[in-house]
Amino acid sequence: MLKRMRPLLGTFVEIQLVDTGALAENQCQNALSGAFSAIEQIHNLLSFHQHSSDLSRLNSAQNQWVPLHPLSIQCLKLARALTRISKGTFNCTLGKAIVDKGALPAPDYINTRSDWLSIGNWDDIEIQAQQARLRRPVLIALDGIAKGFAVDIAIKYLQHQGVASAWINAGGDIRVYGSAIIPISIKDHLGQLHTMGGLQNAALATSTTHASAQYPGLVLGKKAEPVAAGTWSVIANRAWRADALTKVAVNLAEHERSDCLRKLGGNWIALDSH
Amino acid sequence: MRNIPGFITLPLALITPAVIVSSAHAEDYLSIAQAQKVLFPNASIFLESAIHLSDEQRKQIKKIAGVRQRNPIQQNWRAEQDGQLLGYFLVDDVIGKHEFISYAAAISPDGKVIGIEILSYRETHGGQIRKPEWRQYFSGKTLNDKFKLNKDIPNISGATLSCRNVTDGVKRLLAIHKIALPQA
Repeated sequence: MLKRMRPLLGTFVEIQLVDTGALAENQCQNALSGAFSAIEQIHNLLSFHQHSSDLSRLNSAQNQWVPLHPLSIQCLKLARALTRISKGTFNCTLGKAIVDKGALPAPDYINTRSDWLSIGNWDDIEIQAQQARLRRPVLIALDGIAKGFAVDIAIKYLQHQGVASAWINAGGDIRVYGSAIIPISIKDHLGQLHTMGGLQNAALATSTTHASAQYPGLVLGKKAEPVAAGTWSVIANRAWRADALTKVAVNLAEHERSDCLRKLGGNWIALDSH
Repeated sequence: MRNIPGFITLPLALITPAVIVSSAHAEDYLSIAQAQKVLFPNASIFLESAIHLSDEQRKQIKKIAGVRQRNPIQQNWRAEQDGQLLGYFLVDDVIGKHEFISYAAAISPDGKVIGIEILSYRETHGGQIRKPEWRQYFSGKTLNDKFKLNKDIPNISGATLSCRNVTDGVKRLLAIHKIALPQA
């Protein structure tokens, strides 16, 4: 069976190898296990919850340089760049605001100071070679981008192993490459399914602004305010981009949404329920 | 269906045979034997046994894991390589408000999670699981069923579903390992 699912990244991650080229069965299973391990590694590096993650070390070492894993640096750079060019409509410095809303647990180190900023700017993050530093007391949260980033890293691993075509669905963050065309439905915040057609050589992500116990995600507005219920889907070439751009889509007005997203490398998918 | 950049309009035949009208998602991934091989690739033998948990043990499990152990019998397999214990392979079900999941967990002799694989996943909406025609449709879907899978069951992109039920289940299995399985 070349399709497997594991609980990772706080959700269910599903991977299917569609065209395995010259790989033998056991090589395929190893490729699948390796792809899951790659996702697990990103989870362990960038988890806000985990004490020992790179992200927690960065957040707790305010104003000091922290050496980070190359993959953490890579994701942090993407998050920082997108925070900058999206003019804060995607913002990776919202950690404190999200903790205050109860969607992320308060970390132990939060009691070490009382002047946390609930929201920051892209230039609060300084990156130099393989280390990073936070210039002001902000909390970085990469929830809006790391799931897609993990999918991309796992896809890269599969390609490197010689898998000609495969797809990954990490709780709605989907990427497919090679000859495979996968049928897609989008589930909106009302639970309605929208049949979309097939996806090939692209990534798709969906965020809904309607948190519940079953769907615990939370998307905040540009000033960290809660936003109206809706479903936001974006297609891009990479999963990190699609993932992050769904948050941009939430924060743009209807008339500018498609154009702005296109400039940032994404296509907004309007659903009938909007 | 509309034309959207990045999407390919599929011939209807590829999409419509699915009884997706139930708006439920159901998949089988691995059989028990396949999951054993994936989680313990080096094991030469899997010795099956069943633990019968006493009421007292179930109370202890609840205390350690914070989750209730409903089933008094826990099936498990000792994974061995040349007579040496590599760990335990356990199969468990979690029934949530919206899903029914069978999964396998591999636990090392000293009580660490080696890996978790989902065996089958049924997403349900409201009372649909109780409808016989719904069940009938999915009971025909086995691992050997050639007509199945991503040809007829779409990938769903939506709000991120929590895997909390499974992680709670794994806590329960770790507690069972601690109180009822030999560590060597």
